[in-house]
Formats: sequence, structure tokens, C-alpha cells
Amino acid sequence: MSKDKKTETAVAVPEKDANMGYVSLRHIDKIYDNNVQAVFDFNLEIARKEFIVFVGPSGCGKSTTLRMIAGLEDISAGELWIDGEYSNDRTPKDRDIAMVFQSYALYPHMTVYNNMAFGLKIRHLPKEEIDRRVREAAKILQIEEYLDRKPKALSGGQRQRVALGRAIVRNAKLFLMDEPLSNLDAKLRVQMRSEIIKLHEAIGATTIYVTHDQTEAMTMASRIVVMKLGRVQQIGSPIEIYNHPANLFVATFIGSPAMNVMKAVYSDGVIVLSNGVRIPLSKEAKAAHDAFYLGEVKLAEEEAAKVAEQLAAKNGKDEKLEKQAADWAAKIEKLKASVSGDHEIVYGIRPEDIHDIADATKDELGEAYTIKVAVAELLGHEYYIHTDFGGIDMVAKIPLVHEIKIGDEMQIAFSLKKAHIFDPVTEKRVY
Amino acid sequence: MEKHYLFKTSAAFDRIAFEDILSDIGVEGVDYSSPTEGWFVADAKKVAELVPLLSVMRDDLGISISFLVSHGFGALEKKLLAEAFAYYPNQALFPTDVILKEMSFGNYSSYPLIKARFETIPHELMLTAGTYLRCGLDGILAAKCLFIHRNTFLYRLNQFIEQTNLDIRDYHNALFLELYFQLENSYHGDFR
Repeated sequence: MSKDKKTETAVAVPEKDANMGYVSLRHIDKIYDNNVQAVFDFNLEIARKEFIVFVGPSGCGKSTTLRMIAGLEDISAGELWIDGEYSNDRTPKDRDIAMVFQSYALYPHMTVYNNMAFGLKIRHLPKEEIDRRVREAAKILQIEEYLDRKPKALSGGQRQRVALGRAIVRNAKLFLMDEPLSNLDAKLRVQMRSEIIKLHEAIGATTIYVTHDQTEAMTMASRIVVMKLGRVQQIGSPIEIYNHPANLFVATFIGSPAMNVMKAVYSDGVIVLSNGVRIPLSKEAKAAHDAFYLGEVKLAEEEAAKVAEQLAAKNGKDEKLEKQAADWAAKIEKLKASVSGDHEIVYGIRPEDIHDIADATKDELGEAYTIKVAVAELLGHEYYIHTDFGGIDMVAKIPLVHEIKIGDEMQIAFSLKKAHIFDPVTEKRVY
Repeated sequence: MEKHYLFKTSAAFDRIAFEDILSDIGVEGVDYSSPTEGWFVADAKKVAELVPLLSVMRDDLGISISFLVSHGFGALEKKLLAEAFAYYPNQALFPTDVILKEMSFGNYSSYPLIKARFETIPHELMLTAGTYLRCGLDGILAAKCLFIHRNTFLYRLNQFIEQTNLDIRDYHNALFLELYFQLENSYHGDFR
């Protein structure tokens, strides 16, 4: 069994930093008693009124982080500040937070009005104030006509709006939403997404929203925090994350259909696939490649220097440090070779950056390749074309200009400037 | 069938609001052993209505709360409640949920307390109960396997239930007994 592993010594309240955000998470860790770490060094400054989305696969630590902000889980290490108040040890009630859950939990035998009012009654607000807040929230959510109904008489979308209403009436500093749309059908999810966005515009509450759905993240967030296995992979606006993913995980997690990724060999500005297909990179990409590996060499040399210093302090006699020094030396050699010589690389291209030569008007396209259509999925205004490209199942988004059938041959080309390359070891984006 | 619903919270809370919430689902008669612990007795199936309320309860009362839904109310249940609260807050768990999670971490600390429940039960009744489990809770089949009349089987089963306060016609109670048998047979009390 595991318990929270809190820091052993009592810590005085840290000093406030003038530059901190409305919500500030600094070096937050979550470690259980059996040393299982669920969240590693989470850092984020959230401005007032921002709509932040934590996104990632199951088990990535997004809900755990949300629960730490809510006060439902202890913070093992690090600082949480909410509106200038150090909040690590504050009870959930005192953090002035409103939560909306996946289960859109409502009291089954209370009316919509009483569901929304109950939390305020417990806080001993005057009746008139409660009534004003409930009716105002009901108006914003367009559920005024349902105030006398009970939850069982409501649809899923209406119930979720009541759940949102329970949060709105609190006038809380911070809204926390834990996958609130997961239980809704696809059509309703799309509708509720836009309603939540409109709501956020109307009331301007600082919101942290957790989801595993990258479409929700992309359409709703002012900034996205992509997480994997307890670690932040990237923080940025939807456009930044989409166009400049920090690594292979972010690149393939965000975007639908997912980015096509191909293991290849980099050879002096040319990507060579396993079946021999050659994809020349743009001058920009080649320059970025060289700069990336030179940068990695520099970082590795700095680390190697630190190890050398430690080893010198021990008169060169430390087995562990000697091994580390040897490892760094080998890594530096390999990185230097990557700058000038052939090496493994991962090439990525999004489906929408693959174009039918016959219809493309863009002029930054690379060479044309002939492909055979294995599957042609028509989505109304475009096709998802599946094809075997050098042993990889590649997907291209092709606008519907003419009918495309299975077995058809097409000529496609990649948008040079939109291609990405990733280091296969660190998975960092090179370009 | 009735069960004990033991609860533990992270802080003292508004008892009137808490009882209002529970009475909304037909639960009355809440007792408190401390500002943060208490229990009530309700139908076993009430847990299905309780679980969806945990998040709103937590949100409105501003506390973490855990429930242990148990056939009994002794040292074992108190221990399991404390663990349920510490490691799995804001959930309604059965004793077997907590015990199984313990075991998944190699922790068998509940075993002595579980064993103590059955130490004084006559072998004949344990055999009856065990056979009933093995026969998938089919009383007729169990009687056949034991070579006894069905009425004798029912008498012994009722004796078992009376002496253990564990009605194994309920799934979670049957699982509790099954866990005991598995631990006893696999380890004979030795978990090294």
C-alpha cells in the first residue's frame, strides 16, 4: 500500500514571488510511499482568466495534478500558489475552487434549483443572494426553464449544464474541470465544447481543464500542457504545439489523423527511407539539423566537464565517475558524427501536408512520389488516403476534387517546410 | 441485506448538510465516533446511489471522504477504513477492495484480523460455506457435493451466517470468505 510521501521536515511558508501567475505551480512532485512517482517537477504559471488544458493519455498525471491543485491529494514537494496565497496546506474549501466532474454528479432527488443552491446554503449565504446567483447562472446556461425539474428529467447535456451551474454560482477564483465531457456522446461533446468556451468568455473565470481528447485541448485552450508519464512534455498555445511540437510524443499525440512518422537515415540533407525513397530536406531544415546536433554536443561537453571536475576532485579514482566520463565521451563522439555523417533520424509529416500533385497549388512541395491507394476514407469534403509508403502505413488528407478509389495510383508530394525531423534517441524535435 | 457504511473525512464538516445529502437518498440515522468519523446502516444496494454523490459531497462540504461498505464493524474494518482513506480517498470501497489492493503491494497485514473472524467457527460449517462458494453459490449442488440433505445444508449455512455475521449469499461477503480461503490455503499464515 502506498501513502503520500511528504517532505520530512516542516517547511516555513516560502516567500511570494512578484512575478508569479494567478495560479503558480513550482516544482510540484507527487510521490507515493512505495516511491512510485506520479508527477515530476511540474512547473506552470497561469494568468488570470486563462483557459489551460492538461492533456495526455491515461496515467500521465493530469488528473493527479488537478487533484493536488484542488486539495484532494497532498503535494509531496513544491509550491502551489493561488491568487498570491500559498495553498499547499489549505483545505479544499479554503482554496475557493469550483470543480466539474466527468460524472456530472447531481443530487438525484433535488431540483435543478436546489442542486445549484445547495453549496451556497452550506456556506450560509443569504437567501436573496443565493436566488440571485442561481437565476443568473441559469440564464447564462439557458436552463431557466429546468429549475424545477429533477435530474432524471434532464438529458445528459442539460445535466452537465447544471453541473457547470453549480460551479458558476460559487463565484470561485478557479474552475477545475476533470474530463467533464467524457460521458457525453460525440455530437453532444461538440456542442458542449462550444458552450464551455462561450461560458468562459462570459464569466472570465480562470479555468484548468483536464482531458485525454486532443481535439478538446486544441479547440478550447488558450494554452495546452501536454503530459506523459508524469512529466510535462510541452506547454504552449494550440498553434505552437501543433506546428512546433517539442518531441515525437507531442507530435503524434496532437493532430488527427496522427502525424506520419518514419524511421530513416539522414544523409547530408536528405532523408533516406528503408525502401530507398529519398526525401530532400529544405535548406532551413538542414541548417536546423546541424545547429541542433552542435547544440547537443555543447550540452554534452558541459556535462562531461562537470564529471571531469568531480573526478579530478577525487584524484581520478572513482569507478562510477570514470564510467560516466567514458559514457559522455562516447556520446559526444556520436553527436559530432551526427553533424557531419550519416545517422538514424525520424521523419514526420502531417497528413494535411501531403498533397496530390495534380491539384496542389503550393510551390514549396518536394519531389513527387507515386503511391497506390490502399484505403480511401471519404469524409465529405476530403479523403483520408491510406497507402504503404516505404513499408509504413501513411495517411494523407486530400481534398475532394475528384473521386479516389482503392487501387488508384496517385502522385503525391510533401510540403517541405512543414516536414519535421526528430532525434531517434532523445525524440526531441530537430526541425 | 443491510451493511455498515463506515466513513472517514479529512476534516470536521457540516453534519446537518451531510445528513441532508444522505437523507436525499433515503439514509437516516448517522452516528459519529469523532468529528471526522462515523457510520450508518443501510441497504447493501444503497452504495450504488452513494457513489455518484461522492464528488458533489466533496465539492459542497469541502472535505475528502471515504466510505467502507462492510458486513462487520470491528478492528479489521477500522483498519481497512483508515487505509481506504489514506490511499484511496473519495471512494466507496468494500473490505475486499482494500485487502486486494494491500495484497497487490505484498502487504498481508490484514490477514491475522481476517483469520480471527473464522478461528472459532466449527470445521463442518467452514466446509459447508467453502463448498457453497466452490459450487458457485448453488445450494442444491453444494448439498449434493456434501452428501447431505438440502435442508441440512441450509441449516448449516444459516449457522455459519449467524456465527460469522457474514452472509455469503451476498457477492462481496462471499468474496471476503474466498479471499480468506485463498490466503489460508496458499500461505498457511506464512507470507515470506
